[in-house]
Parts: sequence; structure tokens; C-alpha cells
Amino acid sequence: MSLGKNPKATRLRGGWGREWKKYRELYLLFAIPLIILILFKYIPMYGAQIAFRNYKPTKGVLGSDWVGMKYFIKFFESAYFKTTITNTLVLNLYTLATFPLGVIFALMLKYAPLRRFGKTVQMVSYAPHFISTVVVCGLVTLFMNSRIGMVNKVIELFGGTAANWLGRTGAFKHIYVWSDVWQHLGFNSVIFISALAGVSSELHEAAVVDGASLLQRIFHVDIPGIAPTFIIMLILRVGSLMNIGYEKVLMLQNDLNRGASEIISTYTYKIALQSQVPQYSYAAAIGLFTSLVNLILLFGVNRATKSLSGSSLW
Amino acid sequence: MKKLLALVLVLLMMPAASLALTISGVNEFPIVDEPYELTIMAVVNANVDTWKDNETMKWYEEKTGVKVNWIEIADGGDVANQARLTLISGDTPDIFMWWFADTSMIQTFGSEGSIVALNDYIDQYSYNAKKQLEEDEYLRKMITSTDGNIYTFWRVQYNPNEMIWNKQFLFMPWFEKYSEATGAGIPETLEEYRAMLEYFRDNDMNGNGDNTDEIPLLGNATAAIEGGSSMGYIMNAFQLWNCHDYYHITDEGEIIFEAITPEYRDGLSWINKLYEDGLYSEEDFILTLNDYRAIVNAASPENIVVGLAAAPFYMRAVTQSIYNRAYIDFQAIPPLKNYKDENVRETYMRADGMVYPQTFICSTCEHPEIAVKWLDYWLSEEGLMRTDRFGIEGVDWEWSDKFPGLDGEKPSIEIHSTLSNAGNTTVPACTGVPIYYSHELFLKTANDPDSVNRVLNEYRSHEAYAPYAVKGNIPQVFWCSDEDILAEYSELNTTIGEYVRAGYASFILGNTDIDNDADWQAYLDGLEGIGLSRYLEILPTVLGL
Repeated sequence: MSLGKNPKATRLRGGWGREWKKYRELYLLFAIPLIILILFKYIPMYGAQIAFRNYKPTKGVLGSDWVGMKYFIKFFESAYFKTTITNTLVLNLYTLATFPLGVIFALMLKYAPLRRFGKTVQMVSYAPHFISTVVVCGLVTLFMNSRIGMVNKVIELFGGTAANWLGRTGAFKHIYVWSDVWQHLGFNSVIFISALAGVSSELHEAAVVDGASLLQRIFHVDIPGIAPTFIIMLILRVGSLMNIGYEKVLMLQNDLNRGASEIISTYTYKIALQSQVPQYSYAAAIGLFTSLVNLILLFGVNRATKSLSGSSLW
Repeated sequence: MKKLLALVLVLLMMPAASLALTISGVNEFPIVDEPYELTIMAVVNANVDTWKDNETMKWYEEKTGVKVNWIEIADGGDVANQARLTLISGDTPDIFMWWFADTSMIQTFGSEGSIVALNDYIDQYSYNAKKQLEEDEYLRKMITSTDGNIYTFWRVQYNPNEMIWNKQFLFMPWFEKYSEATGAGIPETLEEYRAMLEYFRDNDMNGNGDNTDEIPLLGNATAAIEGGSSMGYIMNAFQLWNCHDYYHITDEGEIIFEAITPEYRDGLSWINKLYEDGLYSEEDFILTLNDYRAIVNAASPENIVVGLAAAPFYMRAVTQSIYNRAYIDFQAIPPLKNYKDENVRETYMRADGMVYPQTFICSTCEHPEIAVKWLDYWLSEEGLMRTDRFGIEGVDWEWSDKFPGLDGEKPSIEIHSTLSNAGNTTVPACTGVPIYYSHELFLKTANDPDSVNRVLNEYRSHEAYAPYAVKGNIPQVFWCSDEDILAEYSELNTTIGEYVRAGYASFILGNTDIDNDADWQAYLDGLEGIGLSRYLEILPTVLGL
């Protein structure tokens, strides 16, 4: 075995075979997700080019006429551009603002005086996560009903007047976000609960010895301990800022709240897929645009957190 | 004559005989003398769980001698697309069974030759289809594509139930109380209409001791494009109101867009005042169809809270299965007189009947004539009556001499109130099987004065409106070969529709002020912004005017 100019390369050349022999089970195991990723995430990107073509299923992807940025311009010039972007951002940023609630909830559970009580609360709180969106929307509509709805009954109990909350443009975002919090809070806090469990107990003991109060321990031991997890979760969340499931919005939408509830994905759904003549290219263009914005946001937030706190995705 | 007939038959059989497969004469069964197989791609949904085991289809297999290999696809709301992909792949079935709104697709594949042009086959091999095309000018016009070919079979319904959208059903026990107290009759003018609603609002109509639980008028705007909203009925007293597309075409061929006229504004202003005085419910815009029905359809009269229910037909508001006097106690009230001219009294009507292009034969079919004959049977009266439009003879309906039909003649079709497709027995009519429900057959329905059956009551409620109906002259099927224009139309139709509905909701509920010129102008500008001019510009092309 000669020593060349680049010892690393030589080691690789000689090493691949040995590595393969030694770790082939691991490589085979790794191949499965890799193939899935290529098959379902990378190969379909080939189809994204229909955003730049006037796609006709009869002509196929490559056979359809190239139209360049036509559909992007169409979306930017559309009367719905401003409304849908604003509504999407409002709903998303609002949801994002409730993100720390998961941490607070996890902390509260950790310090719940009775261990069994904490476990029960945790169980009860993440159960709604497994209810399907349709059912949740049905529940929300019933709760908000102006005649028999629970929300209005409570309001009347305190001397307020009942109203059709789902018909109020201003109320839509609150209904959307807080029903989301109700549904997913427990589940979203699971990861923080496990991160909290990983905080070294020696640090806590040291803090107790130093005479730190409960609040001081939370702020100076627990929160720094789970900050990396929190930041990574936050970055991932920001990366899908422009994406928002259309099902829930669509099901809570009506003629009265449309001004606040028409978001990019419901608009795309209606224009491109629900319509009699589906417009695949237009839908693809809008989809590609939102993905691009998401990507930029992801990079931006990643860089920001890296320089601010030192932890980041990569 | 006999000789001529024989000659014709021989001539007809000659091409068939050369294929070593004898195909029966026109309208004769079995279709083939030796086993033949057809592949049919069909949709399974709530109406049919499987075609393979359908009792009627099994019976039909014996009748025709044609064995069907069913390829079943799910109705994911995207069947047209599956048809498109199937056609592109070239691996097509003999028959694709479904209805298609996208006529450009049919025409594109038709002109390419992937879909068989049926003109000659219908002419030569069919009995019912040929007869219907000859006798029914309207159908021929609707089903013929712009290149003159006929590519699909059809579903035609001349039953009047769905032709007039904006109806309102008055709860008669309340009306009788009102009439006794004030001496008023069924409202004919807007003022009388309003007076009745006020009475409903102010009095304890259902006698439960609470005079606040009454809802004078309730509709369901989530189904507004099918006539569910309360505002449609009222708007017809201001101008002709097509609640589905918001335009109509005058007999002179002029396209009138209804949601921008001064009359429309007057109408909204009037309805806004109804709302402000508690006569028009905000819930109209929020309730889902099921919630709406749950409110209207109480099980007993003292639980009824709605005086006037808006719906395109009975089933959308009330059903006998919950309130057994539903079809007696709720009665359709005729349209109101126009607010400017009391000699005008009108309501919008779509057309005389519905025509849906559906079900085509693919070019890979070896014997299109067998496919045509197989489909042709379902267009017959007998075929129709084997579908779930009627149900099972003897169970769901029967010919009887008890009552004359709506046309005054016996025997008539006595419909038992239940309709069952239990156990996958009958053929569902809305899944692509060609059917032709003529007006004559409809009028054979037994006119039992005491009957509370669904069909009769829908007919009677239609009759209350029919004398005032004005047709909008919009073709039921439009053949447009330009895919891009059709896509643009479809998009504008959706966005403009949503804008109009959100607009009137906002004006009626006073979120924007209809009497304020700035608000009204902003509404008009918004409409222009989403492309109203372009929409009106391409309409004639799309509609083939």
C-alpha cells in the first residue's frame, strides 16, 4: 500500500470495501430511507416544471408548451394575491405565537405536585390530537352555534349576548388558532417533556443547594437545557410557515368569514382542483412559490438563530 | 313491407356475420349469440358499492348475453381526470361510464379518435337513442359537439323538481293563525310578505309560551348556488335572479349580469332592512345543510320554530321521515310581485329539462356496435324504470288503476313512499348509465290527492312556481373546443360566484352599507378587479352563442 499525496483518498479507496464488509447491514438499513427520499421527494421534482408550462395531460409533461413565468405573474396580479397572503401569514404567525405554550405546558406538568395528576393531565391533553380534522371542525361549529352552542351559552351566563362567531371576520383567526391549541397542545409538548427529562438532575441539585427558588430553577436550569430542542422545533415550524393545511380552514369557511379565511391553499384548491377544468400548472406555480418562500424563511431563521444563540439545524 | 323489413335485417346482419359473431337486430335481445365480453370502467360511490354483484346488472347479463368485466374506480371527486389519464395511457376499457362537465376533454379525445364518434353507430344499431335524437331537438342540440359529432350518451331528466331553484315553503299552521288574526292571504307583494314575517316574529306561533324562539324566515346559504339561500326568492321580486351563475340571457340574446344592476341594489337594501328588523336570520349564512335541516325539521308542530323555509325542493328543508306531515304542513308559496310593476311576477327557471353528457366508447373497443346496443337499452322506459329513479317494481312502485296520473290517464305509476337500493339491487341512475326520463313518463305518476309522497309533492311545489317561470336561455351543456378558454371561464365562474355571495352576505348583514355609494362602488370595483369584463367577454365563446 503506497502512501500517495492524498492519504485521505487512499484510505477511502482502500476503505470502502472494508467499510462495506464491516457495516453492510447498516448501509442496507440506511438505503431504505434514502431510496424512499429519492423516490418520493426528489423524482417528483421533475414534475414541478409544469409550473412553467401550460400543462395538458394529453400532451404529457415534456410535450406541453413552455410558458415561462406566466402562471406566477398571473398569481401575483390576481385580485386574491394580497388577501390570501395576508390571511395565510396572519393565521400562521398567530399559530407560531402560541408555540411557546408547549414549553410552558411541559414545565407545568413537570412540576405538578402529584405525579399521577400530571400523568393524567398529559394523557387527557394529547387525546384530541388523534381526532380527525373533520370531527374537530364539526365540534367547533357546534360550540360556536348561536342558538345551542356551548360558547354562546357561557357568554350568556355572564350576561353577554350570543353571536354567530363563525360569521365574524375578526373572530376567525382566534377560533382557528385556539381550537388548534386545544387539539395539539398536549401532543406538541411531548417532545419538550422528554427534553426536560434529559436536563441533568445534578444541575438541579446544585441549584437547590445554592438556594434557587422554583422559578429560578426553571429560568436558569430548565430553559437553557431545552433551548436547543426548542430552537430546532421553531426553525422547522418556520420552514412551513406558508404551508397550512387547507382542510380545517375550508371546513370552517363560510360566505361571511371568507375575507379572513381565504388562504393560499384554499384558493389553490378551489381554482385548480375543485374547478370543472382543473388548472394544474397554475396550482403548481402557486405551490412552487410558497415552497420557495418557505425555503428562504428556513435559511433566514436558521442563520438568525445560529448567530443569536449558536444552535441551528446545520 | 315484411320483405323490406327482412331485407333491412339481412343488410344489417351482413357486416356482423362477416365477423363470425352474430349481432341481434335493432332492439332485439340477446345482443350476441355467442359469449362476448365488454370491459366497462365505472365509478363506485355512495350510490353503488359494487357493480360486479349488482342484481340488475346480473339480470342484464343474462338478457344480453354480454358478459361485463367491471373495472371499478373510486369517486374521489376527480373521475374526469382518471378518464383523461386512462385515455392518454391508451389502455382503455370498451366503455367509460360517468358524466363529464369538461366537454373540451371529450372533444379533444374525440377529434383525436380515442373516443368513438357515435353518430353512425346510433343511426344503425340503436333504437332508443336514435328515436330520442330524432324527436328531441333540444337533446340533439345539447349533445352534439361543435364538430358535429356525438361522442357521448346522455342522461336526460324532464322531471321538474330541480328546474326552479328559489322556492320558499310556508308552515301552514302558522299561516292559518296569522290569517285568522289579520285576515290576510298568502303574501303576494313584498309588503304583505314582510307583514307576515313580522307577525311570526312578534307572536308565540308554536304556543310554547316563549315568543322569542320563532325564526320567521330561514334558509341555508351554504347551498346558495342551488337555491338554498332565503335571499334568492326575495330577489326574484326585484329582478330575475339566477342564483347559480348570476347572469341570464334575454330572448334577444343579450347577456345580463344580475349582481350589478340598480334593481339588485334595491333588493339588497330591502333585505338589509329585513335583517335589521330581525326578520332575516344571520344563521342563514352560517348553518351547514345538516344543521339547517335539524332546525327546520322538528318532529312535532309545537317544536317547529321556522315559519318560512327556503329551499330548492322539499328534501332540502324537510322530510317525511322526521316530521310525518312535512309535505302537507309545508306548502310552497308562489313568487312575489315585482316591486316596481305589480303585473310582473317572475322566477328564474333553468331549462325544461336537464341534459348531462355521459359515458363514451373508447376506440379500443372491438365492436362498438355491441357497446352501443348494450347502452341503448337503458335509455328505454323499461331501462329507466330498472334504475333507482324508480326502484324495484312491486316494492318501490307499481302500475295501478287506483288513481289517474298527472296527465289524467290510467294506469298510472303508484309510487310507494320509500325508495330502496338496499342490497345493491337496482342500477343507480347518477353514475353514468344512460337514462331518459321524459315528461310524458313523469306525468304518469299517480295523482293521489291524499298522497304525501316525495315525487308528487315536488311536482306540486314546482306547479306553484311554473306559471311565473322565466327561462334564462343558458345552454345546459356547452361544447367548447378551446381548453384554455374553458379553464379561464371555469376559474372566473368560481371566483366571481364567491365574490358575489360574500358581497351580498356583507350587504345584507350591514357589514358594508348598501345605501352608501362608496361601499357599493367598492363592491363593483372589486368585481371588476377579479375580471368581470373578461368573463362577460368570453361567455359567448364558451356558451357557443
